[in-house]
Amino acid sequence: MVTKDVLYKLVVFLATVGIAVGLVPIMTIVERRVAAFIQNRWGPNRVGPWGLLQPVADGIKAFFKEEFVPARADRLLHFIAPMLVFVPPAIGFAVIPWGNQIGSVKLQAVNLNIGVLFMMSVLSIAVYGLAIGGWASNNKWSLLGGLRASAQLISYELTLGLAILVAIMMAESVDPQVIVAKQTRGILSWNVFGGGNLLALPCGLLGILLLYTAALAENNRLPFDLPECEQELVGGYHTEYSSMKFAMFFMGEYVAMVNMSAIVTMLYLGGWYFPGITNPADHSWLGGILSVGVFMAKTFAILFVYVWIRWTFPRFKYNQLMNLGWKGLLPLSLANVALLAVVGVFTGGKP
Amino acid sequence: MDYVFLACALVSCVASLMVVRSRNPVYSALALMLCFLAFAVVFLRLGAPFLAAMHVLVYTGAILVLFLFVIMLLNLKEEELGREHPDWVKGALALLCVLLFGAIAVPLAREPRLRFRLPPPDEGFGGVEHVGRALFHQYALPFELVSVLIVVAILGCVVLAKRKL
Amino acid sequence: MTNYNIGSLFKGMFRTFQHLVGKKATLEYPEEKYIPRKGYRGEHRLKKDEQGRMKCVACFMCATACPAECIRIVAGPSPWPDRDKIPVSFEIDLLKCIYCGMCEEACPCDAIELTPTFTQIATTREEKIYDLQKLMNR
Repeated sequence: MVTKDVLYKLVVFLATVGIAVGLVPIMTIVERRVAAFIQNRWGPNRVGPWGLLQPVADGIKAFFKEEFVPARADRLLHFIAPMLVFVPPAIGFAVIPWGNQIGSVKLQAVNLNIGVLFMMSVLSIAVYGLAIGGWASNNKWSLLGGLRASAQLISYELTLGLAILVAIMMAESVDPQVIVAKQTRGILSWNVFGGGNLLALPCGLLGILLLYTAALAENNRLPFDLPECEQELVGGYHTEYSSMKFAMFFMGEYVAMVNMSAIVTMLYLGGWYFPGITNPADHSWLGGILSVGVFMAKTFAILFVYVWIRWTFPRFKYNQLMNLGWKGLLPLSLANVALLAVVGVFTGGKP
Repeated sequence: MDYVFLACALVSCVASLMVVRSRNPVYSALALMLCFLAFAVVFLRLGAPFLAAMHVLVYTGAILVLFLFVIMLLNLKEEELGREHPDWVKGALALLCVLLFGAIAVPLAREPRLRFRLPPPDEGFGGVEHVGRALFHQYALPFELVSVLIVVAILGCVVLAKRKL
Repeated sequence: MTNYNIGSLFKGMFRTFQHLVGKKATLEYPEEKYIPRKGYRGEHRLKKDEQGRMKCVACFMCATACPAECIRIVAGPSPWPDRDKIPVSFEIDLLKCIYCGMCEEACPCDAIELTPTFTQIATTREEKIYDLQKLMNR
C-alpha cells in the first residue's frame, strides 16, 4: 500500500542518496580545479563548459578499463572490499537532517533517536574495506597500506568520538533533529560558539578543530594520507585495483568526505540554520528549499577547506601521525570534554 | 512470529558456524563481524538502541578490527595453520556442545518461575538517557569498579609489553 | 615534543588562497598564442627592397659567420645593374641552425633576418631545409 507519507519518505530517501553520491563527481572536479588554481594552473577545462563534464569522462574511462585481479588474490574479498568502503558512509548519511521540514515531512531519510551513535558505528565499519582490500590483493605493499589505514582510522576514531561527544554534551541529545533544533536560536547558539553559553566558547572552537583534524585523518586526506604512499607502498591498499573497483574505492573516499562535512555542519555549524535566511518555524516549500541550500553551502564550504588544506600542507610521517593522534589530540580532546563538563556544572548544567 | 529475529538468528548462527569452520582466519574474522551485526539488530529489536550502537561501535568497529589487524600482520600460510582434527573428533565435540546446550536449555524451559510476561518497558527505555542514568546513579559503584579493573588491565599490558620501564 | 604552531598553518593557507585567486601561469595554447618578445631569434627570412627585389647580394658573409655551418649559397650573375651577384640557391638547414643570429649581424646589406616564428613543423628532415623561395616568401 503506497500512501502519501510513504511516497514522501521514498522521495526524501532517494534525495538523501542523491546528495551523498551526487556530490562526489562535483567534488572530483572541484578538487582538480582548485588544485590547479592553487598551483597557478587552469586544470581540466576541456570537457564541457568550464570542464564540468570531466567527471563523466572520468567515469566512462574507468568503466572501459580492464578489470584486473592479481593471481592468487582472494577473489571474493577482492570483490567485496570496495563495497565495504563505499556503502557505510553512504548509509551513515541517512541520519543527517539536510533541511528543515516541508509541511510535515522532515528532510532526513531516517529519524533515529540515537542518530549520531548510529552514524559513528556505521563509519567504524568502513575500516574493514581498507584492511580487507589490502589483504585480498596478495601484495605486500597493499597489505601494509591496508594495515596503515586501519591503524590510522582506529587511532583517530577516539579523537573523533570525543569531539563529537562535546557537541552531544552541548545539545544534551544524540538525536540529530534535536542537535540541530538547539542550534536554531541565533548564530551564538551554534555549538562552535559554545551552544548558547559563551563560557563554553573555547570548548566549541577547540571541538570543531579537533573534529575536523580527526575527520581529515579518518578520510585519509592530506596531511594524513599515509595509506597511499608512492615511495614506500606504491599505491597503498588499492594498488591492485583497477577499473570500476578502483573507482569504488575512490568514490567511497569522497562519499566519506561528504559525510564527514555533513557531520561537522550538523554538529557544530547549526545544520541547515543560518540567521536571517532560514526560520525554524517556517515549514513552507520556499523555507525548506532555502534550508537545504544553506546546509549544502555549509557542507560545501567545509569540503572546500578539505581541498584547500590538501594543497597547502606537507604530509606527516607515520610516527608523527601516531604521536599527534595519541599524545597530542587525544589528551587535548579529553581535556576539552572535561572542561566542558566543568563549565556545564558551574553554569547550572543547562547551557 | 518475529521474522526480524528469525532472520538475525539464522544469520548469526550461520556466521558463527563459518567462524569455526573456515580454514582462513580472515574469513573467520569477517564472519564474526557479520555475527556481531546480526546481534546488533537483535538488540535494536529488543528496544535497546544504545546497546546496539555501542555493540557495533566497540565490538565491530574496534575490537574485531584489532583481531583482523593481528591476523593480517601474521598473515599465516596454509602450512602454518596446523593440522585439522579428524572428522570424528569434530563430530563428537559438536555433539557434546549440543548436549551441553540442551542440558542448560531444557531445565530452563521447564522452569515455572521463568514463565512470566515482562512488563512493558518505560518510555525511552534502552535510550542513551536511561542507560546513562542507570550507570551513573543506580550502578555508579560497579561502573567505577569496572573502570578500575580496566586500568589494572592496561597497566598489566604495559608491564608485559615493556619489560624495561 | 611537537611544536603546535597553529598560526603558521593559517599563514600557509592564506598564501595558497592568494595563489588560488591569483593570475594563472598556464597558456591555453591553441586559443592563446605565445607572442615572443621583440628581438626573439626564430626562423630566418630574406628581406626584399622597395621594388620587390631580394636584398641579398650573395656575399657569403652569413655563411662564413655561421658557427653551425648551416647556410649554403650558390651565387649567380645579377640581372640588375646595381650589384654583381645574386644567390641562385640559398639554403638554410634549420635542424643544424642554433638560432644565434650571427648571420643577421654579419649581413652588410640587411638582407637576412630572424623572425619570431618558432612553431613551424616538418614531417621530414628535407622539409626543414629552407630554400630561397621559402625564405623569401615569409
